[in-house]
Amino acid sequence: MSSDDTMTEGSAPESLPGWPYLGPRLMTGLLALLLSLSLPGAARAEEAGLRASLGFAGLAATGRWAPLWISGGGAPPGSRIEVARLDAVGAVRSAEIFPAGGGPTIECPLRDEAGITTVRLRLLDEEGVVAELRMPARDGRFPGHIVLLVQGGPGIRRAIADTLLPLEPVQVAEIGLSSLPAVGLDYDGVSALVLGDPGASLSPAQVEALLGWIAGGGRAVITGKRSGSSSLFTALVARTGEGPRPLEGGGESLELGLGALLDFPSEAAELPGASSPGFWRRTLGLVPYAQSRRLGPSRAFADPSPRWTAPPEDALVSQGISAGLLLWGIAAFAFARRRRETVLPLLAFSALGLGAAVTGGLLADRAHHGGAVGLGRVLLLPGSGSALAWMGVGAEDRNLLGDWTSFVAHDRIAVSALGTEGGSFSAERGEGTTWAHGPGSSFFSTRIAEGRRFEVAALVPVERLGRPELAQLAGRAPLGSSSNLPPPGTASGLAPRSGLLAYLGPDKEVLWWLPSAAGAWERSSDPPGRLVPDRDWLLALHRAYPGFGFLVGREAMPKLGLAVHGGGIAKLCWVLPFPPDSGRAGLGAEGGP
Amino acid sequence: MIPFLIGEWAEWRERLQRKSLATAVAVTTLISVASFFDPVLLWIGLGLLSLALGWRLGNRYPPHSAAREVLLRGDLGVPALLLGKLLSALGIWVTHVFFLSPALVLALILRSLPLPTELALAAVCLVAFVLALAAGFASGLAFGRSEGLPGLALLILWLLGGAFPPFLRPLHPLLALWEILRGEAGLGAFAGLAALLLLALGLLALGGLVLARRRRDYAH
Repeated sequence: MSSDDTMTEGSAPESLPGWPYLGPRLMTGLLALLLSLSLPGAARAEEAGLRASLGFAGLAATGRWAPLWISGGGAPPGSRIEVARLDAVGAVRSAEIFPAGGGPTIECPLRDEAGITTVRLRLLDEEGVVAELRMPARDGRFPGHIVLLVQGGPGIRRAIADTLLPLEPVQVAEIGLSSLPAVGLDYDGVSALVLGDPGASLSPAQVEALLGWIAGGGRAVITGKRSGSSSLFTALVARTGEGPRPLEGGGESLELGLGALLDFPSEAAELPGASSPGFWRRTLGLVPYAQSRRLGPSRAFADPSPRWTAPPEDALVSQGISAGLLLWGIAAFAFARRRRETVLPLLAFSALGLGAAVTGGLLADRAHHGGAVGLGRVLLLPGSGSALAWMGVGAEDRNLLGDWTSFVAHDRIAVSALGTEGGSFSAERGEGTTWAHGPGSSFFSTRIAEGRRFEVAALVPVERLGRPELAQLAGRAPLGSSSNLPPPGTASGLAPRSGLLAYLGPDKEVLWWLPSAAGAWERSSDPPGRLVPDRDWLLALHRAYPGFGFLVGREAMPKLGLAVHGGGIAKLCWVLPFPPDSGRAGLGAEGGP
Repeated sequence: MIPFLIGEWAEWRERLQRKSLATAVAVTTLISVASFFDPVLLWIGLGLLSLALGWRLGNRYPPHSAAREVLLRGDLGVPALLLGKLLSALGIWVTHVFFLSPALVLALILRSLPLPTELALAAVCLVAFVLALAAGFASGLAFGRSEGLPGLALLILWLLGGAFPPFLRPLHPLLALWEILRGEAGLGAFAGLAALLLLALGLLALGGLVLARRRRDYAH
């Protein structure tokens, strides 16, 4: 953590609903009572070394993910840290549990979500709560651009802050190198990054997160380039395999997906025009916040209410079971209507039916997920080898209980994504979902979902999806443009594949193009049937990113799976975006310096 | 008691088996296929089936029928007769459940309800069956079969109206099923089940009192 970052200790008094209706004396008394009640917890938190800070130097973008840094101090082995999101009445809407003691700091992505007012941290051991800490969830949220500045100076900070004036202010967060996120989601609210060349100081996870963010439209500027292979820019060029281009006036640029990485030999303060807002506007490619088209997890998965419909593969299993049961019912009806009956044939018939039901039920069980629907979506970030992923589990829309928790045994829900991480989650009555992270590094973080459904999101390396073709498509294919409909079977890398289902055009009108057997594209007003569960999400993407085209497919991703009720989500929907001709996600619309 | 029990079973096989099994299998299959084992519909459906079957088995002693004659004229004491009636009816209920077991087991496997929940739901259905059986028995003997309809009207009125006053809800079998499925009943589910069982046994005792009164009238 940077020394600049503000850490919170102890409980902060929360605002009380309806306070204007209470007398000032009563309010004062209540606040005093609250403070006195909170003191023991605060003291214990301090003793246990439980500390936390939200955002970058206390700054985070409204409605976006931001890092919550948690330090567990000298937490003994086996203890855990629980991060709970509380609403205005103090109810837990969702919680995550991390193993404590694995490292000095835990980075927990936290999304700014409507209704969440407080974050509660608890240090837990075998016997219960050791220490507790509460902090406001929405303080320091800013509805505009946030630029991270690592090793800058007051002059540069002022110049960047004035970049878009008089239209809107830009917030600059000065942070230390160790405060650069290692979890890709945490870059969600970051519009640009300026850092002095740190050489090989970044961890592999930090590099991965940085590249994914750039591919989604982020722009990073490295100043004071080190010589030779010790330079971060050189390392990133080698890592991506892309070729850098020289910049006018010195320096190099590396275009990666929708974003770019710029490298200058001079220190930031020595750059020509370093104190000029215009220089930084061009260099960072900042446009007014509302026009920004960066591909980030909050925006890409903004679909507020996914259609919880069984995917076609699961629906087929359901139909098969229904048909089998209907046949049994007809046979049983005919049997029951026989004129004469004895007990033994009745018992034999029932036993035979029971045996068939047990066998069929056990066979179908893995695909049926206990009546829960599992959905998975992946937005490939071209050029980076990274992808934004979202997965969810919930009751089918038609389920009368509207709640899967009562009919799916909790201990049978397990996340087994990417092999190195894992966890299980449960949803007890009266509480939101809780996800226990496994001991490995974790990409995924929970989102608040309505109806006690469960959602996670992540920025993951495409290689980890278990589909080499997709990794090639997203990582190596040259970035196309939405005005050029990507024809299958061409050198663009879009070879006809079984998983490829449609192309959602960039026009204002929603137009689908479906690949035909002859290798051509056929226009359609409706998506193919296999995309029905994801249709609303695709339309939300189309609205959120005007001018973008989206190549859409659906296939199994063996390493990225959400195991539900013993069986995994069969297939996930993947999308490869094609930006408009005019630029890369709007951020680089004005080009380089 | 054993001859009475066998007689009850034989009469069910002779007169009611085909109709009640066929109805049960048709209803269960339709519910299962239409809802794809939605636990709410399936268990509420089973609860309703239990109520209907209980009523049908309890209220089958119309005036001047041979079965009624056996009840009124027999040497068997009222408690033994009630026990025999209860045991034979339970046997018939178990037969139905076994006959419907493929659909129920499929729902159990695919929906993966925890076993204690399944057992609690089955217990509520069983108690609902006994309740309707006792109500049908007492009503049929008190009013005669054709006049037993007021008893049925009372049962339906209770099922419809009993849902609203909060203090009556634990005694409503369908609401008890709903609350257990929602997982909101907790320990209250057992208290409600015990109260429901007491009510069923109370009604059975009432049936015994009515039977004793009818026997005295018959003897005179």
